[in-house]
Amino acid sequence: MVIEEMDFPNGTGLQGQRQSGLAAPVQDRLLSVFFDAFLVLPFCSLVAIPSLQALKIEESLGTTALRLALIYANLGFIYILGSSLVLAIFAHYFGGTPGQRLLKIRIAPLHSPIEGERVSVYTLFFRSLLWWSSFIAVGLPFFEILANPRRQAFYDKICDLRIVTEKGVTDAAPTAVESHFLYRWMLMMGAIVAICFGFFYFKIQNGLLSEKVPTETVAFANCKNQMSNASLEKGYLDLMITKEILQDENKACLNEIADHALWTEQSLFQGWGYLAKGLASLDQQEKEKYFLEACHVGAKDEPCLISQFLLSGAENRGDLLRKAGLATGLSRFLLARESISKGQYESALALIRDLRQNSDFVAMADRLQIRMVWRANESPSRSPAGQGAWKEIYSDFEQRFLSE
Amino acid sequence: MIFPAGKDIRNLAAHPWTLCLFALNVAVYFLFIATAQINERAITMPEGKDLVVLGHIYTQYIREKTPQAWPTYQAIADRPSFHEMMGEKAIRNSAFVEAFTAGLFSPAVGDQIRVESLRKVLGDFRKHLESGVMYNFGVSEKKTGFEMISYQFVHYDLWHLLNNMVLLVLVGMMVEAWIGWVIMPLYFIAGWGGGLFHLKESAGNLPLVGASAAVTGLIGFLIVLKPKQVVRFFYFFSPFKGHYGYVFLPVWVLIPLTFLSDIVGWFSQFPLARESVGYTAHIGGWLVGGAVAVLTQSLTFNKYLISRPKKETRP
Repeated sequence: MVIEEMDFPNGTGLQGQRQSGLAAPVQDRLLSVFFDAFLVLPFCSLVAIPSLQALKIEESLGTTALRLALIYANLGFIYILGSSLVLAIFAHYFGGTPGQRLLKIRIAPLHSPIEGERVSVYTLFFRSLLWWSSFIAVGLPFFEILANPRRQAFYDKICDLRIVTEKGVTDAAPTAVESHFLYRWMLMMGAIVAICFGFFYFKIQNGLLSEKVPTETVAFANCKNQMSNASLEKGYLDLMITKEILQDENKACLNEIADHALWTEQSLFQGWGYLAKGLASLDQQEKEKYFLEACHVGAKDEPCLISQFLLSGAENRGDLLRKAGLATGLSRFLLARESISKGQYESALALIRDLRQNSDFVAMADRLQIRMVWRANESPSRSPAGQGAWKEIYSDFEQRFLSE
Repeated sequence: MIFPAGKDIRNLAAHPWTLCLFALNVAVYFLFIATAQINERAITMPEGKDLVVLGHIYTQYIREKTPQAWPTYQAIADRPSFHEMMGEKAIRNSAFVEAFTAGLFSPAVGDQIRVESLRKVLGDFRKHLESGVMYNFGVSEKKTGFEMISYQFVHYDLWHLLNNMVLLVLVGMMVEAWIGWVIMPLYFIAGWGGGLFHLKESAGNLPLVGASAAVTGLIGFLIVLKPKQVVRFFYFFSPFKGHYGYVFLPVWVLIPLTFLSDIVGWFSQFPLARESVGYTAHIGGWLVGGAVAVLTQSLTFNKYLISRPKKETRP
């Protein structure tokens, strides 16, 4: 398909026109763009160094899609405006862009002789901007030169310019092969656009464009989200450890929280951090190391005494927790559990009631109480309900779980 | 893609010094590098969680040892991958690696159990690194003697070798056609200059290897010596007919293609960022190559080396 123009009804090229000079061959036009890219873009890159640096930092440090988009937009702005300006100034003084001059072609006004007046910087700059705009239509207007008998693309027509060769040799008017090339180019670009669309659709669907943050940060954020703000204020490790012991919390989450406590909030939670690391560890040897390390921080602190309690198999290990002062929900929880296992249900009930005062531990206190009543029922030394100490245990349970 | 191809590559035999450099590079690769065990060649660095913890330790190291440098890092310390990046930087800092593995530095805060296990991991990494072929032939903070020459013949893998050899042959043949045997000392001096500039600007614990600094030196020499000389370039735009082939262009077009690109690469890299290209080595090689060209032009014996047009001949 050869596109016919009103000026050249039979595709007769430059015949009968006033201007002298031969239209530059298509191959030289394409090559000049290629050379311009290599020669001018490094100069534009000098101006773009801060943005390039920002891009590298963003990519390396984890960033959001919005930040990346802004940097790319900034880079695009610099390269488009910068290259347009450099090429326009160069073409104004030397008659063509660096690539064009290397290939001995030049930009000439449409209705002037080759050696006539210079084309203004403004016109050349405008032409360059229009040239860039052709990429919006996947480069199609640029390839208009393949099918146009005067070798003009839309930006040449708008600016009343033409590209002529100084070699004295030109190629013929558009051949059928060139016209077919245009068709193939459209097919190829269509395929590329379809692939890119599919790729980005897949990425957006999978949320890959939303946030680029390391897995550990995501894990930490997820773990934190699971806890109430109140517990965060008080020192969430206490609650997390209790949950871990009840197997409500996964070890990876506890590990993340512990790392966070150890590396960033160490002055307040160092002991708790080591205790949590010990509980999160799957290796027994490492577990013991962490428990011992908790005592290096403070031998009389609660985390140390809890660590000793967890390591100890002694009959009276509950004293360690009492020594700790039962200041945290974890101590009370552990001691209540210990009391239940020893059949000391009265003291366990007192601890459970105490634990229930803390809103974060209500669910855990309930679980302990159910467990306690279950064990009490299974116990061979059980007294009939409603007698002595058992009365209180059952009435509390009834009030909590069986009343309407 | 576009690169100089002034001479037909089939005429390599007619350029004995370039052939010699090419053969040396290939021989070193196949005799010492390719034959070495994979685990000797590959530098496996700590990664994942280890890298993050290492970053935490290194952050404290920087704050303690070089507090004046801390504000640069502080500005980005709240970014999600900051510690991972610091971990990568830590591996490259030989002073830190030495102090930490020897137990001379311990972080005041943090998971001390993990710190001790990392001491071992980093110590193993250091041993592995220092016993490797790359480290012993490449230029790094502690390898600045014989390595300044040897690194010019060592390549990380076959692809690295291939890239550098294509440029060496193409540029070397052009340079040798003008200056003959002088290409040999020029190659070594440019490579040495590249190594020196790299040491001054961005050296670390990890070794610099490759012929690229020396080859860039040859290009720098070419550009300064004969910038207007028109030579043949090969270009490849697309596989369509007419979109690839040869074109004759002046040598100066290599300035944006090589020197400017390296300058942009060097300045746009953040002090902490990971870079696999030795921009500073390239720039150093380029500068030395250019300086040698200037010197050569001003020396009396240049008439024996370089054929000049008659109008430039001194009376």
